[in-house]
Amino acid sequence: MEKPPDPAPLPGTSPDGVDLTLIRAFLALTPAQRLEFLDDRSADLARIRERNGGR
Amino acid sequence: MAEGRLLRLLRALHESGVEFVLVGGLSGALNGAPIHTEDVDIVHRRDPGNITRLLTVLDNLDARYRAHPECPLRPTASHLASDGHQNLTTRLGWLDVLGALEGGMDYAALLPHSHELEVGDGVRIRVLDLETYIGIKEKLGGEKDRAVLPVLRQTLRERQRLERD
Repeated sequence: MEKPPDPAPLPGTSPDGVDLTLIRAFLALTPAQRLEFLDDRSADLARIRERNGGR
Repeated sequence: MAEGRLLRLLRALHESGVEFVLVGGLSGALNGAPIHTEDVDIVHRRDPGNITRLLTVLDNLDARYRAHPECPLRPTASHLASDGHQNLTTRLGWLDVLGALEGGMDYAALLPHSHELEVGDGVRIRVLDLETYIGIKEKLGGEKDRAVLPVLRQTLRERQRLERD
């Protein structure tokens, strides 16, 4: 039997320029993991600001 | 591992029995939109019991108005009973306590457009639906609101595609 063709790959970017790979990666997380991700990024940013005199 | 500030802030509200709907950028992010936000926006139920519970949490978090750093002005029950916006800073970060959204949507009006999400061990909160958040941003129509709309709309489309497949 002939193998069905592979589905077309999903686009990486929307027509209006949004990175869809980021959206898919974020949607793959649970809400708790999303919150943890945001908390981690906030802590990273705070550390960077602190190292640069609060700028 | 130590909990982050956003989770600790939401935990404090949840564990105190405060009734609220999470709105704003954090609601979009928890619904799957990859947007960064550092503040927590809530619309609270404005009955006397809930206002008392919320005031207790705000007091424990040392909440003050962000606009007056030189003067440690604290929110009162009458502030929280109004439909105004209390833009606060707390020891766990920025917290905006909203009596109602622009256009008058208060806790009761938002409740049917929200759902519960578990955001940490034992922390379940009500979060505004992504569809409603997009509708609110479209109505507001400011520059800041328009900037985030493409990401929110594409997140909704991707979620709908995942639900179909």
